[in-house]
Amino acid sequence: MIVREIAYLKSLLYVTFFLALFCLLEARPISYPNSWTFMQQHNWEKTTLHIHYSPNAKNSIGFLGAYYEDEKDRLNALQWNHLLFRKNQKKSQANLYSKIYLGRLEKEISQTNIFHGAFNLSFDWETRKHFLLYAAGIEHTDEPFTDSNTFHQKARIGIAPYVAPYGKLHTWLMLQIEHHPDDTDSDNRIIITPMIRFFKGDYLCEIGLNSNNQILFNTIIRF
Amino acid sequence: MKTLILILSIFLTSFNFLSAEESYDIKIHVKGMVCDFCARSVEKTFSSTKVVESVNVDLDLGVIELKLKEGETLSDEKIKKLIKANGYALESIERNE
Repeated sequence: MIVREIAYLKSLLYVTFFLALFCLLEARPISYPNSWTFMQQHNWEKTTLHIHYSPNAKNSIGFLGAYYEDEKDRLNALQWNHLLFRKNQKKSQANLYSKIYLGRLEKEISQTNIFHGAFNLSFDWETRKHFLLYAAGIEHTDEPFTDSNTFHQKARIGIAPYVAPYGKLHTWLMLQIEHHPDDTDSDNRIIITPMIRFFKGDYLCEIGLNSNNQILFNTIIRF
Repeated sequence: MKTLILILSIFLTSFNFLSAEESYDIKIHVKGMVCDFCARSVEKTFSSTKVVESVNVDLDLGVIELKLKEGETLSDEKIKKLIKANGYALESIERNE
């Protein structure tokens, strides 16, 4: 079992490293029509890999894999992202997305394989200089002895220190506040993460350090 | 000498101005194109269109400039459809005719 876990973690790390090499999430969960996206996230809670295909500008569907650091649980799921609403203005854009995933969670402690799913709503508003995001979601896990539904929400604010022309390196300074009221560890109920986002062409990279001194590292590649 | 420099400057300025004016066939004003990624999707879409020779994007102005291949055309309806398919809104179309 330990060997399998190490192999799984290794494969996730390799992919992360591969993506980081090209360096370059909470960016848009749907890409342009007929395109693929690799999204990798690493934060205080988990390391995830989301690979999805966008058949059009309103939907994407793909695989979600996650490794939860503390529990050492592994998730394999199918995720569907949908653009519910978009408001295009000359100098801004606002979006409302829904994200649903359903899958199997391999529980390390009980050596069981149980259902795990989530529903999230995410709203963002962006200009060339400012970025705002609010997201909230509920997760369900088929666990008999613990609270099987958990709620979480987060907000993010960003500012671009300079406005880069098309095709050049874009930089964003961001602050993220997460609220996990159901987390058993009180240190994780409110987490604040200042971060920096680099964005060039089809590559995006985010690096941050949260209020518990834990690293955030996200990458996206679209093609 | 000063007169020569002045004449040369005016000539070059005029040349640049004319070049810029003639460098595109269609100028498309788009709403919602506020980030590099937004523009990239539109650029890729138009680049893959058979009639388009080159695409130039100006994020500040929210403008896409298209240079068409010799003898080719692209209708307003088709442009609107492509912009919409990428999730953005068409504001206006200018043609350099």
